[in-house]
Amino acid sequence: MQCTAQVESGVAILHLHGKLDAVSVADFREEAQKQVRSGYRRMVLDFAQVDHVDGQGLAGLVAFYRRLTVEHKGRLAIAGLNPELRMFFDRTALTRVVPVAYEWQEAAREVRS
Amino acid sequence: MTIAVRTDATQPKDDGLPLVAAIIWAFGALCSIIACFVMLSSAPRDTSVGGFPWFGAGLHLTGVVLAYFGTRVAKGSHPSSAGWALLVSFFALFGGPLGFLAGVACYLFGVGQPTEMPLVDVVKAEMFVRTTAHSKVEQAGAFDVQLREELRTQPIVDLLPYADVATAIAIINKLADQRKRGDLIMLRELSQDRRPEVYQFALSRLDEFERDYATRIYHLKEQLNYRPDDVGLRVELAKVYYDYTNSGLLDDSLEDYYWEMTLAQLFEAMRFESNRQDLVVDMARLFLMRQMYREAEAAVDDVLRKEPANLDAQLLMLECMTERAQIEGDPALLQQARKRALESAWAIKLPRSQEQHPLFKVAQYWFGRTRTSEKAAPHA
Repeated sequence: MQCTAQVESGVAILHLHGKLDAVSVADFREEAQKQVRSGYRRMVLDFAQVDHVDGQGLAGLVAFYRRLTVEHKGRLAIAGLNPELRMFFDRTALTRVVPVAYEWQEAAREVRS
Repeated sequence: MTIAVRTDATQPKDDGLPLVAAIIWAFGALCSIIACFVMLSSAPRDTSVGGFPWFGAGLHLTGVVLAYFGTRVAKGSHPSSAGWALLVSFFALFGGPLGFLAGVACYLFGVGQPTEMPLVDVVKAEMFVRTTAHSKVEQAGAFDVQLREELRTQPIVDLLPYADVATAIAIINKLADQRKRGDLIMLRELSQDRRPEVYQFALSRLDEFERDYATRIYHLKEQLNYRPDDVGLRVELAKVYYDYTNSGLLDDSLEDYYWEMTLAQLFEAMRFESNRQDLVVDMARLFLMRQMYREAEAAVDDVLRKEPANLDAQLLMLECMTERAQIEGDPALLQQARKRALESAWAIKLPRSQEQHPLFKVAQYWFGRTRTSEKAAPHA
């Protein structure tokens, strides 16, 4: 799992690559926390290059989402989910609360607004 | 669904069925079948004539004995060997060849099953949240009992700073026996006591609980290694994680970690069984536990769209709304919750047979008085 970060008009975009699972969730958490420590409270997670997310990965994502939104009063959006991942995310009902977009640019606009 | 946990150290045999046992069983079954055939074919139409079919009876008993020994050989030196052997031979004794086969089948299917039943709630352990809901019923139904218990405990807890060692140890025992979250948090504080006798005793009691959770988690994880797609096991593991998270044994960061572990197991279970709404309700309860009110409401709302009469979901929705109303200081939300409760057809249509349901008292708490007062209103 690789995470690359970029900043676009005050929004931290985290591009994830590969699998988000029990092994790689720690890398994701560290990278995401780094952005929060740097002061970014608006973030987009780009899943366009992610082909698999397991329960542990999704739990890590939810835990981070909670930290960002509840503890730091931040905002998060998700982009680039493939249909299989979208279905998995939909089951958790999180997609009804977290903005989901096809492209990260669109998601970034969403969290900025 | 009832989920069982294997807690004994001895793992079931998984090295297959010994050939000798299979041969003994085969002979036994053969004896039993021949005995049946001999006894039926030699039975006179007139029962007043003809002797007792000794040969057939002997064969039958031989079959029973072989069933016993076959099972003993199959099970080896395991402590449950004699029990299984007796069970199979009883089947063979009273059921003839069919009983023999049924007994052996019973053994073959049953021998790999867990030997110990769930630790908390065998019958209602569908979900760990159900256990939580049940405790709420206890709070609602037997509130006075709980209050009395606390009133009895509180004075000795207040004495703690002035207590001598013997009293402190008695208090530790009392707290450990109650095993509630608040009690265990207090026990953790006692483990910082400056007197070695006190803090060592407190630590030893805490260690008991830690080891209990660790053992349960270890066994469930071991079983999951062999059956990774077993949803029941995942749910049970989630339940143990949930209990551990709420136990009061952990500090904040570890609580967060185990909360995440609970969620991970639930998500994995949801991946395998996407249509289980109870899992979604449990997930929502986890969200609520960490102040994710909107997320919890969204999840419960999803459930209620699919199952409008889901009692757990209805109650959880009200809990979400009332908690959010308190946090946000928004009385409109409380009114909205009340309106929603009144509109809930499920509560009005709740049949009388449901009065035995553990959640009925909670439902009554929420809706009972409201309905009564509505009926009374026209007279007033």
